[in-house]
Amino acid sequence: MIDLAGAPAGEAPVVHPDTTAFWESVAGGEFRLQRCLGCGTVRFPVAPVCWDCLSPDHELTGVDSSGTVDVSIVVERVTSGSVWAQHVPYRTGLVTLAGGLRVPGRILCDCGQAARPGTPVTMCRLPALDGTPVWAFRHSCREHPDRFFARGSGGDSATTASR
Amino acid sequence: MYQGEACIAGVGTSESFGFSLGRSPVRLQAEALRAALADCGLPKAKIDGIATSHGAPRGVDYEEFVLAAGLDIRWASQMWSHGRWAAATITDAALSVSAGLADYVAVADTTTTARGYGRHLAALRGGNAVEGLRDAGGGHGEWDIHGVDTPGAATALAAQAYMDAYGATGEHLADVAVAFREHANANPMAIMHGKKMTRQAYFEEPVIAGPFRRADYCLSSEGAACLIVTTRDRARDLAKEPAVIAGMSGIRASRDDYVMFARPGLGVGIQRRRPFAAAAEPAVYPMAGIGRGDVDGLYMYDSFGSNLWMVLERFGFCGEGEAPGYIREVGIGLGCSPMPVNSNGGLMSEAHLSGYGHIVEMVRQLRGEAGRRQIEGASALQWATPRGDSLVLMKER
Repeated sequence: MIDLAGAPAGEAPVVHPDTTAFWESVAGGEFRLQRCLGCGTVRFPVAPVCWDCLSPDHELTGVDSSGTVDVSIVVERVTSGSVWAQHVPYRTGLVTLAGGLRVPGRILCDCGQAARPGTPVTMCRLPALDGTPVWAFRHSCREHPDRFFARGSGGDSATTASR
Repeated sequence: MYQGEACIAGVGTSESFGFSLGRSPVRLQAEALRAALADCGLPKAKIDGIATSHGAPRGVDYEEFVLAAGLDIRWASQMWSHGRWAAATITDAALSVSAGLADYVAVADTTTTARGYGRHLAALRGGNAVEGLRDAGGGHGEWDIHGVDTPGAATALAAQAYMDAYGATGEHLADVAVAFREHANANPMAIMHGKKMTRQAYFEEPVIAGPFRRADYCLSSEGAACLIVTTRDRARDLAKEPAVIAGMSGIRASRDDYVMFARPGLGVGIQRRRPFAAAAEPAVYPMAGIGRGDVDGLYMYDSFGSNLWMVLERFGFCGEGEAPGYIREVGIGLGCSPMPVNSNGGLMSEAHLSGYGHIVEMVRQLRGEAGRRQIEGASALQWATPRGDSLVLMKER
């Protein structure tokens, strides 16, 4: 596990049998989403059935994980009492991936450019409190040798049937 | 078909609202029930139905309250917690009395906080946090694992998306917070009564998340409210003028309409981003037999200041992206707007009563009991949330 530039660990995902395959792909350094074998819809978030045709049959497919900032904010104070209170201020938001899906994630950026919608960012991963790798994004001002998720190849480079 | 048979005949609240009242949720709710019964002169034994919600923020479940208050009921409805169910809970009560399932329903709701009386009770995991841990994120747009773990941070993200899209600024957020604070200063029950906030003071408030300062947030407070819902026929024998439940519409939910405080089309969470236009005539108006322009006062779920932008556009008071301009040009303040908004001070400056405090205020306005806050000639008032659920209350004719 590569701890990106010392970024602190946040809340861990709840991983259960329906979502294990997805989180294993993240742990393995790939961002692979479910593609419905009934109608072809690629879905996010992870779900046991297709939201369009209700088919449970799907495969995991690698998606282009390059993206641009859709919207981002800096959290200055955490009112929940969670672990995030130890990390303020931090930037988080939504990123539109090259394929058009919008996904959430922390955005590591020191220069402030990630405040602007449209700023290119690269997917990376950060450890959660329990060590589970969680995807995140970083702006180019946060250079790091880790290139996880930065393949940007798009499409179907890796698929695994899962039903 | 519902024909406006139901009304709110009595209203009451806990004796006070505050951040930490030192009184248990059952006690607060009992205070509100007692006040509502006294308000309309109804003996407790007449209550034969209860509608409430339960979860976080911690309230009282229907059974716990029935036992504590010595009620004997034949109809109960218990929704999930949060203000998103205020209209649905009141709708349920209205339909139950219209259908004869109950004669007099106590709609009761209480909020206590983890920092308040919650300190004395077994831990209740925040409903917000539990929602945020869903695989699909939370209903406000939370994603706990990405640091958006509160409704506030999630709504800040939605507000930022709105500001990026339409050019709204912190000045426009200030318009909302300052107006509601002014209303609270005419409301002796409001927690922020006596705590005036100038525009300059607004900008001196600390930033919490994204564009939101502390004053853009609702109060995390304790209190209870109770409404006595019955038929208009029965209400004629009671002490106070009833408020007719004339129009009702339910909460909308879809993949494009699940982020609580973002109207469809804004493009937060997994919503699609697309142009938005309100329905020409949202269903609550024809049901009430009025038009949008007949609304004398708007009451909306102001957990965060930007929610007002969503409500104004969702119900078609203005077009997409025009709400901040509407607030400046038409106004939302008592005494200066043709349709004042949240004359009680709302969740941001009166107290967080999950919306029921607004409903109590609407009834008092329709009766002409609002004192310095009175909207002259108020005869049709609307409750509305960014998710499209709504009620129209009207003066009995």
